[in-house]
Amino acid sequence: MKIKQLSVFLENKPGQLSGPCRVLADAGINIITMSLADTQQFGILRLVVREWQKARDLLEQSGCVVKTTEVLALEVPDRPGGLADVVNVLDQNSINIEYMYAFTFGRGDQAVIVFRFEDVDAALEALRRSKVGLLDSEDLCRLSER
Amino acid sequence: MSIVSEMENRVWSREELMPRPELRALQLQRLRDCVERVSRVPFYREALNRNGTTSEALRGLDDLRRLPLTTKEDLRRNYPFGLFAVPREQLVRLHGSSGTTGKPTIVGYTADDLDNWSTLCARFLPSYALNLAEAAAAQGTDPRSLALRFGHFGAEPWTEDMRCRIELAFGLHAFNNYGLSEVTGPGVSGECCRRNGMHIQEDHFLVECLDPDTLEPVRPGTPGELVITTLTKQAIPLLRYRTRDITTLDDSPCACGRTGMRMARVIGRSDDMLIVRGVNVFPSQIEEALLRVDGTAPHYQIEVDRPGALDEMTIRVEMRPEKFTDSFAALEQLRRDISRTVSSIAGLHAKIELVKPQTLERFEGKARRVFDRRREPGRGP
Ligand SMILES: [Zn+2]
Repeated sequence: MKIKQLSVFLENKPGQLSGPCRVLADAGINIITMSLADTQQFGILRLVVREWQKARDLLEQSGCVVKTTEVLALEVPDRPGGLADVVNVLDQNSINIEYMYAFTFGRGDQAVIVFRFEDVDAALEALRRSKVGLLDSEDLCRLSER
Repeated sequence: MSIVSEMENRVWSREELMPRPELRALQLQRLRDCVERVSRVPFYREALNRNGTTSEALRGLDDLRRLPLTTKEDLRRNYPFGLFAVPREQLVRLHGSSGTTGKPTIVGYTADDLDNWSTLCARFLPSYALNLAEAAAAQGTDPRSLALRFGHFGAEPWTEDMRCRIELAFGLHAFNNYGLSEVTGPGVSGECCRRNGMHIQEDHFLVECLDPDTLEPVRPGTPGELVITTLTKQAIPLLRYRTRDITTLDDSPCACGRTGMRMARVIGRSDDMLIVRGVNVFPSQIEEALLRVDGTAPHYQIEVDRPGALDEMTIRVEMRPEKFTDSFAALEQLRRDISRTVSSIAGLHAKIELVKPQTLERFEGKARRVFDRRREPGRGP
């Protein structure tokens, strides 16, 4: 259920984002979702891609600093209070969220959101006991192709 | 106790333990003699006349500042024999140092100079010699052929990290010492067993620590250029010789009992000094800060600019891949740690930019690390 996410260090200069995107596009690697977080000083580009090993190697060869981390993709009901319910489950189990970002697609009436937890195994454990839907990388690939 | 540590702790002469007031009286007396001697050198005679200073006019060591400074350029200009204070027939040894720039510098010694020199070296060479001897003997090398060469360890500025690596590599204690060929070769100062600075042989050398820009004494404990007056040299006595080496002086008592002031290892050359918002900064201080934060010194660049009324210093540091963790907080922490360490070592706030590995320019041989944009056309005063 754990999904590999690639985090790429970016300097805070114009054009820093296009480099990694170009590398992946040239290799025909599909970006399933991505998020960019930055301060005035630097940024972190986070990517979920198909063929993450290949993507990581290509990015590193192009001079990027890449860190592979594990995240979870959660189904969140696409209605008011949907996210609050999911976060509630996590709170009750004292699971700390580091950050989250959304996929551009959903499944039926469910949105899909990437969560990065301090302790991914504890989060997985807690979520399995709850009714929150979890997607694996195969699900993500399938959904992104539609 | 092993023979080695016994020898390391041994004090070699009474002068090394002399109470400071007594030492200062001896220095003043020797300084007067020295001024007397240099009056025979045309270069100094003219300079002293200009200042209106004579040996009798020196009432205390503070009057040292009334004496002229000597630069390496002065030595070059008076090449070859313009600086000898004794007739040529009294010279027993000449030593030409082929610098990387300009004309060679010639240095001469009288028999007295050589005696003094061996005394000075004997004060701290045993620790080198014994350590080295053990190492050399293990390899079947005659240690006597190595002892003096070892003294040159002190000639290059090095970091504590380098010292550790040398010690590991050679399996010996690397003691710092300091000297320069224009003055005497090794023997100006050396570390004692405590290894917390190099004791200056103050009965033979009178030292000052000056701001290279204003030539005023720096505040105690602040880095400045080491300026040396040779108190006992006969062949080429030097008044207030500007070494261009940057160090700090410490005259607090040392646990070993020696009273000689201690100098820190040389952290750079006065030529490398940057003046940023009135603060003297040396690239080696930045390197030291990065080393302290990261454990290894990453590749870095210093840029100084004056976008408005004030100087700004930016330090670009190449990110090491193993330091990157996908955590914003960790990256911010790294920047803050570098910034805080730079301000504690260099006394100046700098902007820290983290950049990708292998992206900062590298030059053949010595890396060019400092970019002073204030001097570029159309910028700054
Ligand atoms: Zn000592």
